[in-house]
Amino acid sequence: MKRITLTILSLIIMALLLFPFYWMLMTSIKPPSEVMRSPAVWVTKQPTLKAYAEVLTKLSIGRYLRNSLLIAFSAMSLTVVLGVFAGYGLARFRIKGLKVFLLALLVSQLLPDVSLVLPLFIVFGRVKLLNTFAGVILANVMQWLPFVILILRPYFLKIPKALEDAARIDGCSFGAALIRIVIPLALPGIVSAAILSFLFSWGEFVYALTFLSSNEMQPVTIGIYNAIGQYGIRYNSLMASSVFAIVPVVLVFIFFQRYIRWGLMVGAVKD
Amino acid sequence: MKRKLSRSEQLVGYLWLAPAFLYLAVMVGYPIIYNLVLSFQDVSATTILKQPKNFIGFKNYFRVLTDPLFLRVLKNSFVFTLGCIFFQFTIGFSLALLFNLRAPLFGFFRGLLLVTLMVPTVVVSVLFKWLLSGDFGLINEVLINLRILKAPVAWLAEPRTALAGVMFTNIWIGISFNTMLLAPGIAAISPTLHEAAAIDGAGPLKRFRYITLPLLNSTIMIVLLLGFIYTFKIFGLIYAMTGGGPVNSTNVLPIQAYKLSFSFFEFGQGAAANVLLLAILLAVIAVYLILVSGEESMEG
Repeated sequence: MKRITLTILSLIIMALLLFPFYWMLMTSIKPPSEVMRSPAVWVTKQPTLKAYAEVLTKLSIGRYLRNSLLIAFSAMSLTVVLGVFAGYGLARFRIKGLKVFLLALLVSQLLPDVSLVLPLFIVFGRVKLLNTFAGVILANVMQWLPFVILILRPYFLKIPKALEDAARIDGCSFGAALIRIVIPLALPGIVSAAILSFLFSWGEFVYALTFLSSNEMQPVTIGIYNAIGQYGIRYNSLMASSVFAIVPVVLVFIFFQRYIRWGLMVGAVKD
Repeated sequence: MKRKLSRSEQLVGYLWLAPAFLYLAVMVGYPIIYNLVLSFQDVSATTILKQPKNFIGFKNYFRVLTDPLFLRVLKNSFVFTLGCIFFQFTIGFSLALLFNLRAPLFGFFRGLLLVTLMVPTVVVSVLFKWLLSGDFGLINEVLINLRILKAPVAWLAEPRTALAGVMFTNIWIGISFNTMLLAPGIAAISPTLHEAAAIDGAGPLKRFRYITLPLLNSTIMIVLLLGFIYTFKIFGLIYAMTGGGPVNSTNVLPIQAYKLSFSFFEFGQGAAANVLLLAILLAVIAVYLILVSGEESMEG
């Protein structure tokens, strides 16, 4: 009985906490006449996909999403590759000054992006990286790399060195031992690092806002930001764009949920 | 027994680290130093292309600090940060305590909570802009129906309520963050302690006060410090919701630093504001690191 009460209580709390997402979805499928209405229409009787059609055609949300995908996927790939190297190195070798390296990672992970954006803007301007995908991708990699290394290192630490040595004795080259033994065993960590760096880059705002002035290259976060001004009161379009923008988050929650909690925890607190 | 590594073996270790750490040195280390240099130079829209730039000592800092707006910005920053932490910590802690009890669906709920941390902040910004809107925003409607409000409030357009509106939004994000970090610590407290105290006649409140809180002491400190660091540097959420307005009522230090550079093109002053922001954060980060390394050795 007590357990049922607890479940009902937390069901109410969760419903309240997640209610904004319901309102996003509901607003996006309402006909415009029902969006701005008092008393509010809690459940529409005339659901429509007009707002989605509108953002696809007028707001070219497709292009924004494609740009986001390109930026997030490239940033994720580069972050994971660099992160695997460093995470493995920090776990497997006796590194002099290990503490200093870990400290540098912890500090750079906590630095504000807004403080780095000005010096990077000036440097990127000099080396012609403004208004390029490369500039935003490089900044994203920098932003999430410390976090990713801190997630990956514990996974590599857990793999016994003896396993690797055994493979070497059996005639595996160093590279083959890494690919056949180490990477598969660390795969859960690599997957969670990949997912998190993808989602973080997907939602990144300040670098894209500052480095990409050309509409053609902006990701969906900036597309939505621009639309706030243009479509000040067109909330059904804004909500439809938002629904598009959270598709990857929803997919991850359906298919990969277990990978993110642990990764977030470890990365946020310490190694 | 660990044998002594030969020089070449040690070198191999550094080769593995080299790509990532060289990358970070170029992309984090260099910009931080360059920002420090900029903060002592005359760099504005008219002088940005001039080489070499004029060294002007502490003039940028002087201008930033003597701007009457700066005190307001600093106050906003601390009100925003401490207010958010107070609510998100209290609510997050309560939720973590609740989810520590065993009941159907709790594991699922805990996982679901994380969604607020993964959604792009701009999406949260527009969503809450809509919920808090003065014209047909749902929050007004609910408050009026509950007879808490008489007439709709344009939460984000009123200087008196805008900061509260932005804080409300960020607290919504922060609750999950606090629950996520506190839950494992609460789960690690042995239930036998509570059982023994219960036998001795201690009620739930007393057990919370004399068992849960003392045992979570260092976890709580870490969560609060991390909360401060992550909240004090928030930029995108507020920038997309209000742009720091109306009349600077939501202008916090990161927004002011950004606007000095990218709205007013006073890059030197923007860099000086950045240094001040970094100084405040690094002081808190230092306390956090001392706590974390005292908690357990970083050797992992």
